[in-house]
Amino acid sequence: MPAEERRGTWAETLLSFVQRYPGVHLREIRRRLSIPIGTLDYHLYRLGKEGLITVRFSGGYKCAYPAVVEEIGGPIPDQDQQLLALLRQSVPRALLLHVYLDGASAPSGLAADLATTPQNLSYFLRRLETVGVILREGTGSERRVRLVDPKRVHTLLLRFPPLPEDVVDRFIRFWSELHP
Amino acid sequence: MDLTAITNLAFAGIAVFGAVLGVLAIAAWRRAPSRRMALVAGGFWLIAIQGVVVGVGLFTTGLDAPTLLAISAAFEAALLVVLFVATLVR
Repeated sequence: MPAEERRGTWAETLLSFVQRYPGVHLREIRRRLSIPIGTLDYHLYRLGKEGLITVRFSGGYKCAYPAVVEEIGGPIPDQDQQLLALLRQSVPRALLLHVYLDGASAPSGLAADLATTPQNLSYFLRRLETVGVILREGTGSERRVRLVDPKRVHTLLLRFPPLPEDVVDRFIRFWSELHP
Repeated sequence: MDLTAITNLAFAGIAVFGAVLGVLAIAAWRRAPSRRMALVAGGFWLIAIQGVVVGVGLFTTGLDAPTLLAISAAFEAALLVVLFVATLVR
């Protein structure tokens, strides 16, 4: 069941989807719009050639961005593009929200709160550190994760909304939030 | 309404809703693979199978009520174990 309704041509639908959710990866676009892969590739290439969309690899995903964002008056800065690609994934998004709302947090507590494995958490912490969003300080039990610039995260979270949840997402959230 | 019809409808409903939730759980597991989601999917398929087995047993094979009750109880016990384990795993 597509979460997004198709209005107009595939090109128009694709462009407006990417403008609304920059950093969204191709598999997600395909799933959300129920667009055939060949059609998606063709329109991404065409929109790219017309200078309306840019596509870049981020963390193994091919992510699409609008060439110009009205509110910014230009393209999304490079560092923010990488961060947006991460924010389209559930674990880094939840991680940033957690640290933003609760302040500096211990990695061990974060893994438990986000219901993820320490390995997965460590992978995303490394990637978020690379794009300059978080900082890991201290050692051992004093180790803390904090945001470098909370205002930047706040702005991005507000400006670019998360993808809407469909019934499967709600199902995952409901069962994933169960803790003994 | 006749009690037989109500029982028939109830087991058909259990089978259908169990299968719908089972399909949803499999879609969820494919999107976010984890042991918990696999167990939840297994649990819902147990419900669907219970609906089919008991429904068929009631109306075609002529099994007596205590036997069907025992089959139903076995499915429910298995379901509770599966959901309990799903709640414990991360």
